[in-house]
Amino acid sequence: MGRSTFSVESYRKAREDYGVTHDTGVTEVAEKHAQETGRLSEIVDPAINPIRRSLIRLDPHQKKWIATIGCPMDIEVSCDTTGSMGSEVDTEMKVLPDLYKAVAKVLPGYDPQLCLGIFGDVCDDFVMCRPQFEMEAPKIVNYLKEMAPQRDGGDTPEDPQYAMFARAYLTDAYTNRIGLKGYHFIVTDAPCHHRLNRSEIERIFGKDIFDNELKNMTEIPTMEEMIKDLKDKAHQFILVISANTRTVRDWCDLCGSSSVIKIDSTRQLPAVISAIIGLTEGTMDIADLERRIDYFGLASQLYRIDIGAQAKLRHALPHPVPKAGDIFRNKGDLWPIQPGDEDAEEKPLETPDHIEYL
Amino acid sequence: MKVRDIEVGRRIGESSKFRIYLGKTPSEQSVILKVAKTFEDGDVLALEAGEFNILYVFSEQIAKFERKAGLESARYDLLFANLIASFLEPTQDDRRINVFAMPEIDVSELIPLTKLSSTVEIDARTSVWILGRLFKFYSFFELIAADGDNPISRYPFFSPDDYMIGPEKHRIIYYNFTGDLADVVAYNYVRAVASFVFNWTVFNNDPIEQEYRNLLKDFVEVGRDSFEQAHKELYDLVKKIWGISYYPFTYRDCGSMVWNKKGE
Repeated sequence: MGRSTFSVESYRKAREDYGVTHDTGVTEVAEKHAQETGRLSEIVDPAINPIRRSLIRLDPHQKKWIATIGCPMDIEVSCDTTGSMGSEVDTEMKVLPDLYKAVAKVLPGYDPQLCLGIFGDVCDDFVMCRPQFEMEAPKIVNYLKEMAPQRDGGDTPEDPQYAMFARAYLTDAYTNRIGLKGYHFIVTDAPCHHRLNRSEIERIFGKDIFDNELKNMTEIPTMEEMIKDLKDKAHQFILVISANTRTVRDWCDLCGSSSVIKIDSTRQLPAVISAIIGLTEGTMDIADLERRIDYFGLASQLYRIDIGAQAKLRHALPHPVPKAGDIFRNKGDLWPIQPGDEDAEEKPLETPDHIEYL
Repeated sequence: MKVRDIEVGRRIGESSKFRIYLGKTPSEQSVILKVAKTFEDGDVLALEAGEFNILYVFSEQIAKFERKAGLESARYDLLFANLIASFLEPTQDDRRINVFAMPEIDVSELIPLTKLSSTVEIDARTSVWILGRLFKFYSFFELIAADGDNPISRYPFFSPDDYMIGPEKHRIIYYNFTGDLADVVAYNYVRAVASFVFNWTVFNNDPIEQEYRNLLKDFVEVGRDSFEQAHKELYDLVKKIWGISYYPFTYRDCGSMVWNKKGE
């Protein structure tokens, strides 16, 4: 599956190759195409192969498989593109290098995989766009330019609940398989409709969705059930932009106050998302937070999230988190071959003989 | 031994969730390290780190405002320890470590307040700055609570265990934010703080000193609506009866009649 990861050079080249050289109107062609054909590009259409996957990258290695990068970390961001937020894909495109760099810094040894989607309202022709989890610039630039934001949104609240539904039930993430969680962010300035409707699910994810991917879903979950299932699989956050108190309260009631962060602008996304991930993973020095988040109110909100939540999950795993160079017996194996296994390669011990404990 | 670049020295304290060590940075700065006893105990230190960051950033904001307005700085930053790092240490089973530097004073010049108050008694004039610093620290919380973002809406309970004292330099430094919090009720807090200082102080029969004693007794018995008010009343009286000037830390060992001075 390769070893390449995101780089600024590959990002610049991809933008040139795809003709996305302006900072605005990134999705203009795709929007026009969607209007004319009534269909989304298949790489962002949530109804085409609805399951999104974030898997560990393995290459063949002496009749076995070797992890090329490390444990994947699925990071999904679904951004409101209704009303005044209609041009947020432009911002996502613009901040992408900073976002990748910032999250990679707080995820040492991991393979950050980004699914940057958008959502609107059920009264729109296209309620949401959801690409695959990707880790290379050309693929991310490509899917971003294929988005079709609707920009209208009709009424407020909006309908991000289907993006949350997708992460809860239509995602196959390696993190979940081994007992970790990925990250899910909704970015919005509006509250959310508290409803999940079967016919809307079929409209968004395909009319056969309940015959195939969701065949075990005998009843549509309530919002509370869906959010609980989402939180079981992802560290979930709502980033509320310049919103009124009522909007913030609505999200706090729905998802819990430790999951809701008020921000000023989507330009803050790289700093905020990486800080949330760094604090949750336990890889970020808490004393450094103020230097990264130059806004008192924002930093003080971040202290309320569940700091170290992922570190706790990591500690409960039966084996260390897989890293680059680990050998897997078979491609579909959950864990690499462990020291002491029959076919384990001789490796020098990484831990010193004697550890002094404070 | 070292964690990160910090040379870890002797253990100086312990609570149910963490141990406290002295340390030295590569630049020879003395620091205090709190090391969680277990991975799970790190939660309490993570929360503490967030609270100390809030205190620091808020004090910076006030200082910025004071500079802009041309006001003399209140230097709230001198009242609490400066968190310089808070991390999960892989060589210690990912147990969290908080590292603190003490602002503008070396750690060696500080003693735990509880330790000092259990071994010596102080005279009335020495008690003034101690009570004043404690009132000022809590009035800082009142400012935070009044801020729009209101990041700390609950105050830590007053406990002398949470402070270090530098007798010669008249420093009281808050360094432990891992205890219980309570809703803001200045009335009870003023009483608790004043009661601690009152019980530590030896008053003589001098009428001036009795006037001061009566004020402290009033703080203990009826409290005040705010720490700012208590702080103002304290210094209004002190200005009137003694004037504001440096007074050395004057103490005697418990059970002794001989007064000693530090910092003359």
